[in-house]
Amino acid sequence: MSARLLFAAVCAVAAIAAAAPASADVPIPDPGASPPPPACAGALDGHVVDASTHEEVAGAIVTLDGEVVATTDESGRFALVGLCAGTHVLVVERDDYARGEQAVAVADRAASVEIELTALASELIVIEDAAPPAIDMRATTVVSGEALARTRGRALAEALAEVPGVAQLRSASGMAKPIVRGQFGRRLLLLVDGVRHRAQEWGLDHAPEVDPFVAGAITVVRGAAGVRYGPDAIGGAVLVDPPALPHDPGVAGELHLIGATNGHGGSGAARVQAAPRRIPGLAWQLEGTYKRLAAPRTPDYALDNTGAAEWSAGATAGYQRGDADFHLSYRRYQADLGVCSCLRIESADDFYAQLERDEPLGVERFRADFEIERPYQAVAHDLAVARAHWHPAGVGGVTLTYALQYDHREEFDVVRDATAGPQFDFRLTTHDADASFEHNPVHLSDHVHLHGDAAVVGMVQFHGFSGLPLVPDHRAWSAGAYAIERLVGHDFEVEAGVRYDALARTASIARQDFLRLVRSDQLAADACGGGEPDPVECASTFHTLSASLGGLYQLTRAWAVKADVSTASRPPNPDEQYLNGTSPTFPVVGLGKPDLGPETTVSASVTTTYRGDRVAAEASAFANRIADYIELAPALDADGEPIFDVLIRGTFPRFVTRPVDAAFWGADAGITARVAPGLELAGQVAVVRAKDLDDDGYLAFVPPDRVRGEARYARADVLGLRAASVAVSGSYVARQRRFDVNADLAPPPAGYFLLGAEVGVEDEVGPHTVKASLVGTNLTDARYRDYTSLLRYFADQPGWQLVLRLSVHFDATDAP
Amino acid sequence: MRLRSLSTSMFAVVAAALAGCGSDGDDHDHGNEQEVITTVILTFTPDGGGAAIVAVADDPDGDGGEPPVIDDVGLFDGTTYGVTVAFENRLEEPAEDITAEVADEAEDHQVFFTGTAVNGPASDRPGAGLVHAYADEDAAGLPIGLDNTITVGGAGGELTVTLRHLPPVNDQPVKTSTTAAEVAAGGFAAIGGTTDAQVTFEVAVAVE
Repeated sequence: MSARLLFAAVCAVAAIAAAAPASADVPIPDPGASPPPPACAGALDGHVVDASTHEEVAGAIVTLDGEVVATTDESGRFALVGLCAGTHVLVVERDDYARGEQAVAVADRAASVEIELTALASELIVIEDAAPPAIDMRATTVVSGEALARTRGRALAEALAEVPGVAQLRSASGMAKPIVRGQFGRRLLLLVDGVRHRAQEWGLDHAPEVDPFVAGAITVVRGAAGVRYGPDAIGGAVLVDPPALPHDPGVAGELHLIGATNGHGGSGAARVQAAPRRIPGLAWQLEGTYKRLAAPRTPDYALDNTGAAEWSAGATAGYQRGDADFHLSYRRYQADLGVCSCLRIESADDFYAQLERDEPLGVERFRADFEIERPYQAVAHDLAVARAHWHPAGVGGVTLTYALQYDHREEFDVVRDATAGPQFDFRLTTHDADASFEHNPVHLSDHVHLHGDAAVVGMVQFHGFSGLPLVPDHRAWSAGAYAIERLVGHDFEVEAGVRYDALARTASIARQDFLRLVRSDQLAADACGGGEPDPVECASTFHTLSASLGGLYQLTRAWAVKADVSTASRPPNPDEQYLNGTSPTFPVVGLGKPDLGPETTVSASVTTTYRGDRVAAEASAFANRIADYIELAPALDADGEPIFDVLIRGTFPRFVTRPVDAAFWGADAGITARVAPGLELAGQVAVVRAKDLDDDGYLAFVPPDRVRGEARYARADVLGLRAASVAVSGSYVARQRRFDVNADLAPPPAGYFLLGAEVGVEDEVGPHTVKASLVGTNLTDARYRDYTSLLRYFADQPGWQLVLRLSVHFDATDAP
Repeated sequence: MRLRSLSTSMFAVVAAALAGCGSDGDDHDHGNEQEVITTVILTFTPDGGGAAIVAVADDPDGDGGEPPVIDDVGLFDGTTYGVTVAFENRLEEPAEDITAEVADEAEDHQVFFTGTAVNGPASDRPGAGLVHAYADEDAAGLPIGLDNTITVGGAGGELTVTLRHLPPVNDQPVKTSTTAAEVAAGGFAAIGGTTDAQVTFEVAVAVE
């Protein structure tokens, strides 16, 4: 215990040290930028592109008068300063291109040049390497490599916790869904392997059924991104992209073993990738994860029954031949998630009485064990994807994708023994198909190219339920099309996009449930054909339009500003239309409104990024105005008083979905700075504000302000090991002071500070890379509750914990 | 924990795809795993003989929609009644009898009598008109509350009947000999478990 305190104290000091300079300007000496003699004031900006496709050529070596002076960046650009006037010989080289040579005349001012390289004939065209992803006009963060490795073993939302602007909506089972700029669930898209995750995202306590281990990189796009990803991407999109299949013959893989102390337990994950030597172009991958965790403990008591049992498995095969490649993959995720015994949600009286208590009723019976008893959720998600990509020379790329998803969610309540099965049982089957075309860049001038893509998308979906009626059976189809064009200049980019979607949905509502909606004034008696026969068929159709305009200006090679304005309309989700019953999350009667229209958002953001040698930073401000924003809020009568429904179990407040005008605005920023060799400081800050413009009130579940700082010191060749690192981090989350207590049901909890630390080593054992790290979280054993956690009404968050992580990477491919 | 095999899940996907394509999803059974009580029936049988008084609280459309319809209760001063409590789910056809399920799991259930008109184990109101006593017990010798006696000796008022499900937590009992007294002292918020039914009857007492 005393050792832990000492460690905590050391960490605290370091965290304070880390937090202080994060916001200060760090002077960045540039060794190449010594003041040029007066006679040599010329500068040259260069852009290297593929002669046939006009795509950027990154990583090419630039030689001036026989001396290597630069390497092209991701956009194929390089910049030279301090050039003396006169004619110079510029040579650009990359292995897979013919040598490019050009004579340039330099005067005492800035000039620019474009150099075209001609690709060498090659058997294998590696498309992935040829086209770096376009820069998003919104704030984006990619979690990959070392940063992603540090999140292994965590759930998806938790893995994104260090991304500025991302918070977690935690459920009572310890799982969470990400919140981006105050938006989550139905307004935040999740794409796995390029396919929209289709699940029961409406439930506050429904964590995404995705194992983050499938990711080779996770990208968070913050801000409305409706044109490319779908009109409901109001908060943004989270892209979970699997690693690319290997091109070189051989076998590679990784194995991760993770053990934790609170809740104790562990997980294992493995991935094997191979490309058989005998069949060139073929590659495959197998991956799997198993996780078993006991219920964690708060500083004072166990969060009884919050254990988790989870597994996932996936297989991918790819075949590449000529200018075409094909992918087939199947992934399954399955989890049993215990829900805390501390919940008191089945009667409003019990719920409100619990709010007065410091700790849950009956904690003396609570245990931190593995057993998962009722109440619990059993979820399973299957995703099968087939994708074909064809890249004929001189035209562009065509991609066809078909995806099948089956999402099965069962929720088991505490019931009498006579009832054996789940009380809620939802099955969602979704077929997605899309065809996209990306044209080759059009050469408009030496410095201006036009990139673009267009796609048509289609979806067919079936939803069925058993058990308690809450969201009825429904079926839906949708179709849409979008086109995005991007003008890429020497130091600017402009992007414009437009999208149209149509959605038709028919719900089959049991007549009894239909009549309840009529009696509660959520539906006119003559709606849906007058409510005959049984079940009543309620159909709705939505047409929505999205458009966006964005621009980027490169102020210097490292510093850019981006701006984006967009509009999108989101049709209501099935639950917002048809919710009908007591909520399994809160002791409220929830009622949908079947005749809701789409909500329309107009949003704008400004982002500035800096990518220097020592400092990487991004800061972004945003504002969204959402007309007819659909919220689930307390129903009010004509006098503005809350409505209560008398049920056979007592009196419950009534919540209804209703459209209001809302606004979200705020800012988030992140910086990473290498202040000394091996020492890196990082900080993130996020602020979100939201208002109901109709009554000047506040919206529920808007994350409070947060700030995070980290100091990381890494060294190579230490203690006979290849590398070692140590890090401390601190995060502070303020109390949410802007709230509507009627919608929130209780005032927000106090702010809190969490301390974390990590020690990691890396070495080679034979041909394999072995990494080990020990991570501590909440090291001060802080007692806290989180405003955006459903657990906060009942119990504290888990106390301190240590996680030991071991990984082995092996690579036996013929990579050069 | 249930870990289904990969082949089963593969099959599930294919089956779901076929089912999704082939049917419109209307005609499947919505299952009977709902634990719904729509109706609470109190039967007051006078000790000295005479017609039984039946009071029903009924919510025929379940949660939401119309509120439950609750009969008023008329009792006679100076009379002792045997009181039985019955629970039904009338969303089913025929109505499902929940009383037997409660009796089968008597160790995990208890019915409480509270309200302004009640003095008894769960309601500490000396001088209230209805004096309640349990007349049954479970295997552990603790009261259930499906069979009771109520002795009328004063004014009427509210009679709240609450069925509480009190399953053990980690094999440690939640229903104990002091549960009723805890309700009397601190209300239902003071005890564990969940409320399966809670209805309030208006009781009028007539002098014979």
